[in-house]
Amino acid sequence: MKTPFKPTAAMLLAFSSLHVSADAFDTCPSQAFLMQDTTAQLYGVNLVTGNVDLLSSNLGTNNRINGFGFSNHDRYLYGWGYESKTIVRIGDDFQIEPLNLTNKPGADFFVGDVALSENAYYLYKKGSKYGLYRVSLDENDDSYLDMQQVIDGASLSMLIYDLAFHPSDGFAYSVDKYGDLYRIDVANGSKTKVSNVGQRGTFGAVYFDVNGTFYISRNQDGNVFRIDVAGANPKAELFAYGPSSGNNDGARCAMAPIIDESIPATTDFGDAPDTYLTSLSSNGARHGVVDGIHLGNGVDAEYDAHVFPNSDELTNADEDGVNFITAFEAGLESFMQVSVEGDGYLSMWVDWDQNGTFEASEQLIADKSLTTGTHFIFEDTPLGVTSGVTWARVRYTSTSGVGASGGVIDGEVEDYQVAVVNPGNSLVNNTPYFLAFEDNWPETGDYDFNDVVIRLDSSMIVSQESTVKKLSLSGELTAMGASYNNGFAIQLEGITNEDIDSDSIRFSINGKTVNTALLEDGTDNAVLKISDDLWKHVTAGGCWFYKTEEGCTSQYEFKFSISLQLNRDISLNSFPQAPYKPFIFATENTPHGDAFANNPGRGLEIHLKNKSPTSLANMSYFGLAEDASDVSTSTTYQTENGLPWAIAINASTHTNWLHPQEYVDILKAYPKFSDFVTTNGEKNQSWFTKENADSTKVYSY
Amino acid sequence: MKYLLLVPTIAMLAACGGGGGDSSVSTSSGTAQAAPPAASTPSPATTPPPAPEPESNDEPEVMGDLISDEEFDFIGESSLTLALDNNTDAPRVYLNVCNDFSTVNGEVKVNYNTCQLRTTLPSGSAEYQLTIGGDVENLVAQVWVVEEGAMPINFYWSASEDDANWAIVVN
Repeated sequence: MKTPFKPTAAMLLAFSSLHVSADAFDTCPSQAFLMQDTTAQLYGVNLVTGNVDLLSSNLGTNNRINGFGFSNHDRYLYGWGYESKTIVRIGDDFQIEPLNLTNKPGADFFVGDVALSENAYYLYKKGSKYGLYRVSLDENDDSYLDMQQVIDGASLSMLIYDLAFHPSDGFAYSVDKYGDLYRIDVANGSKTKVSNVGQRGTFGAVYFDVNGTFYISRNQDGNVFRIDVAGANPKAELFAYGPSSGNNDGARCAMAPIIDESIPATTDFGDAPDTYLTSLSSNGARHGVVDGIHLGNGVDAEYDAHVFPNSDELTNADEDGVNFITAFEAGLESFMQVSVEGDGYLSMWVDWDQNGTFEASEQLIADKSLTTGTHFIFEDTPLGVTSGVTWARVRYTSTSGVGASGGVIDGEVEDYQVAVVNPGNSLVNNTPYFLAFEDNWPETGDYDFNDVVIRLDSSMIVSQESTVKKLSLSGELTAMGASYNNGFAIQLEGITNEDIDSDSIRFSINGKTVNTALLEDGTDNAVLKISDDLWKHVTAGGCWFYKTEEGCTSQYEFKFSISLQLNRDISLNSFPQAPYKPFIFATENTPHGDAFANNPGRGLEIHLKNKSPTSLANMSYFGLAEDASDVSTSTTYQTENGLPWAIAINASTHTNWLHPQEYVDILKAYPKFSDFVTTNGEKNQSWFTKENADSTKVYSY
Repeated sequence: MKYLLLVPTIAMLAACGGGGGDSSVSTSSGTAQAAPPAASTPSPATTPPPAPEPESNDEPEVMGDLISDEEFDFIGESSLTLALDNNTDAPRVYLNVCNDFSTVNGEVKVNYNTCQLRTTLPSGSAEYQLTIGGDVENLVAQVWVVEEGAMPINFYWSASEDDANWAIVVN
């Protein structure tokens, strides 16, 4: 409709009928609608990031449309047309259809929305001559398209620029220019001041989502804030950095979530633990995915963050923008290589005190302006930082001044685990061990070596004098084909509980701090008891076991992280070596096979071959069934043929061992394992790689 | 083959007769079918030399067929001694030893998440011990002089050379 059409009042009904063919929207859209400019332009707004797309620059009017709302009853947009001086209806062709109102008060309106509990449009204008009006949009209603005053504008006086209906409580809400949040009962025109939200300005576009979260967009800077209107003393939380506009009005289907999973994802998230504000519900760091601006070689989009212990890398390896060439050494320059595409601003935060949050004082890089290419960046690491592995967040966007959380229209966020050490210290990372247990000891099992499979990574900080300053362990349960209930622990040979600085211990499971004691009492050597029942942490996902049967998935993960410091100097040469002495043990009060008349409990330990049990092991269990251990000669956990109940596979860092499927003998899955064993590990040292597996017999992720 | 004995054919036959599911004997389905009777009872009185062992039928098919030296711990790893001489007078020289890297357009790209050793190099000599995973084929030691415009110096180690010592001199 390129020719402006100026209907007379007499023509409006006829005009309206001409446009009946304009269809309603198919769905309750997740995006918000934003009307801007003096000649109305309609945009779609992604509230998650603040991204704005032009939907129509020609709605068939040469003037503004304001007071804009979406009817969830008939799925049309409604607004006040300044050109036609009446309500206009807009369907999926984005063309206005003026409606013929009766009893118009003779003014234009810029505040309005359509109710959820009835198909009625409410308009508000400040001033004693005007006020709040109700217009029925229900053709079967006697008052259809009749403008009825609910209350005059002196009795209901607010300096507001838009209002929106809550999806379930029936009230309309708005925030005035002073930041006062009002709840309005449109049935009688009364208002209640809920709180001052702490932000002032012209909030020209306001919206609800299906969860009752209220979003307000400020014209002056485009910032989108979210408000929990049901909370105590609601405050505005900066949610996204959107575009500014002199003339804003918003509408949205309040029954829609703000992320629509029926369309391709449009937002990039980080993957640090959620204490760092990562997921959408936590108002996590997130970026609209648009062409031409990102870190590294590319950026992918998700519906929500793959928060640790999951990883953004599971969907696509796009965390490639920053190479930390040096570890962060307290008081020294750190050296990093940053690759970017497009002009933008780089910001970085590092959790120096390892308290699980990025504080403003932990911002290492703020709005560093970069252009396409690879850049070498030097930054001073502060003194007094806590050594160990911690999280860093890197953001790159065309918007300056972003914080460590919240949405922004473009660019990318990448979260990294980084090393922090004291000057002169070395970081020694062991390549990972895949610890694979058969849990039927002292009886032999089916040798599928998937009853418990744990990937164990470890690293040490070592001083210039070659003493171990800190040990860090992290692990992940990758399979559990076990009917029995097993715990998991690691014994540190030659280290006592007293050797470990108990105040320094940090123990977390799935990114959350664990407050139960990590060090087991009553042991000769220190024992790190990580779980007393691994089945507490995961489910089989509709199968018998956890990640050993094809076609079964479990949404649960079990990842742990431990760091500890020592009370005395222990040289690297005397310190136990990876994989240390990991073992599984029977969960108390659970059965563990026919070899035991009673539930064996903690005293039943299953270790790697020839590793010594802890002092809590029940020695009477040795020699039962097929166990041929001779503890006195450290010939332990083996059959008379020398076969073990546990193996440790040392792999390169990027290898993920594919364990045998349920009931599949390891030799069937990995034929080269035979020669590895027959040559005492001299031959076929890479027997466990994907290339050496029978792909039909190993578990695929 | 010092420590491993393949389960003899005769033993397999005996096992099939009475062992059932007992894991102390071989129970693989292939062993009973493959056992040739000719190998079971050679007579010492006959003049022809005994038939050679039918090795091709003795391949272990399941874990239970294996016999392992009691001392072999089933942990696959090897160790590497890294000896470094830093002869530069640069104020700060940094070393990363990593197991995942590639060369793209002549430039070495290192995956720093796979670094096994990260350290500021002291002046003079230093020695480090590293364990090497069974499938690690190559390592890169990337040395950076930490200053503007620096370019890395790369040194390489290959598992195929079967050398447990790696000496690096930085001049």
